[in-house]
Amino acid sequence: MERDDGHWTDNPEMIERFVLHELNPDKLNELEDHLRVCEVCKKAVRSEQIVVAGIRKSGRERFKIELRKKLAEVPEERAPWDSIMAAAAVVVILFSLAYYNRWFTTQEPGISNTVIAQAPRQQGEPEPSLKSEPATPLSGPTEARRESFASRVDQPSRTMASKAIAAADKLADEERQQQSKAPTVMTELDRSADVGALSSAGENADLWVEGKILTTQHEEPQAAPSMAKKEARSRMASEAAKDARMRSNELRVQQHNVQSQNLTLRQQNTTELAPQQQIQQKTKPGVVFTKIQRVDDETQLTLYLDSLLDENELANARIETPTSDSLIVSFSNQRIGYRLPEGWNRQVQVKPAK
Amino acid sequence: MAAPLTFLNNDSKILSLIRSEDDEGLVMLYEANRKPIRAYISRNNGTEDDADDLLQEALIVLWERVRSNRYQYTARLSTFIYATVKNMWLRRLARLRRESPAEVEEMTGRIESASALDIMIESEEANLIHKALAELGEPCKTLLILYYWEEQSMEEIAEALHLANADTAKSKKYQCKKALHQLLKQKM
Repeated sequence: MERDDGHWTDNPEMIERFVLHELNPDKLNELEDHLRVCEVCKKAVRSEQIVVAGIRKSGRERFKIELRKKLAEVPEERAPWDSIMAAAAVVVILFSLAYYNRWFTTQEPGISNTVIAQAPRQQGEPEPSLKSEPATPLSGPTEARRESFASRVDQPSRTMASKAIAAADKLADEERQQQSKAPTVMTELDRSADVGALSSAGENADLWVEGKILTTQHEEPQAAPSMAKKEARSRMASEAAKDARMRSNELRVQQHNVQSQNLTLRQQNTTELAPQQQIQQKTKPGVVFTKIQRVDDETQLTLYLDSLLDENELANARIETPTSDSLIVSFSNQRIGYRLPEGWNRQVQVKPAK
Repeated sequence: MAAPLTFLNNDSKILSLIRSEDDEGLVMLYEANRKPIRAYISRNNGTEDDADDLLQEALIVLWERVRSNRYQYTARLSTFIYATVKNMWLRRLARLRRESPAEVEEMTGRIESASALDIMIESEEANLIHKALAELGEPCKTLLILYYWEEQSMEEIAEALHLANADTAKSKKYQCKKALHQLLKQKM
């Protein structure tokens, strides 16, 4: 098929539409039939096909280069962020739990003599007699180690100090358990394990100690479920029995009011505690952070409470000294137990009751 | 009323990304297929570079087909990619061994990697055209690639190249094509 003015392939648009398969089937068949007999048209079509293929190939190469650049930025293995975030969340939760359970502290539940930190001395206050004049000579290598720890305590690093002393205490307790075969007289307070403890860091030094709340009266919920009621009744019965046992041991337990001894009770809100101590306090329900200070001939116990007590209640607090190394402060609705370190017990001398 | 098709994979998302000219779809496919393709090529005496090169080629083939509406979803995209890579790799091996590509085609079935035009063109001719296009410069090179390879309409080309309208683009394309032919005549 030849046009009047020459080959149909002279029309560039026609040849392009042929190569790009844009012609309708009828026209396409017609031109294909012609191509079989027209070498000029065949050559022209072949030439156009090569040009189009070449342009496409160039386009592909260019695209490939761009794609390669883009893919080069893709990491070998894209990090599974969902999994990473989930794992991170789990780690954070575990650390939080660990912190609240004090997994990473040296103060294990069974270990007594917990010192939180030594308070900074106030101006004009006498030098603590940790090294120079211990009230009671420390005995044994572990006590010496503990003293050594304490003496090296730097004031700014209170946390480190408390950890070091606690570690020394732990060692001391372990050694005591291993070495001492002699039976020890367990007091009610020892057995109850409810009593917070003081460190025997030495007399005249300010100490931070933990008081444990022993009994809370009037706290049974009004509409508690039956099981809870049973538990509460059982707990109260147990406490009553404990109290009875303690009362029966009149020879050892002496009760006095605050005025009857050289002990001054003071109270502060827990908001007055250092931030770190506030955090610690929150993680230890039932613990009252208490600072013991020696001021002149008196011993001052400053209790850091969530809500301050009535002044009368504070004044009428009763002091029990069930053993030489323990002290219980009783208010109308709660009792707080402490263990006194050697050297400090003599400072809390009970005056005769008026 | 027929229930809409539910894909249990990312294929529909990838296809729509390719259709909307978002390369992220290809990146997703590349990431998903890199490992199996590398494993296949290394099992068949190839290198990681061979595997990456073929995977990119296969992605481009898919891209071309999707963009020109010549792609029919009859199997998962990963299947298409795998078959395309396999076909290209066997053809490349056959070329290296001086075997007949026809035998390979029979072996691997009908999944094609490139169009008939691509197969037809010789590398020497392709190089000539590539050089001629480079000499032609812009915007002719891009215009011709947009029209013949990306198969964009004149309206799209006018917009992409900031030309006045489709007619201007059409006229420009005619001039560029004529210039290319002249350059090729000089070179051949």
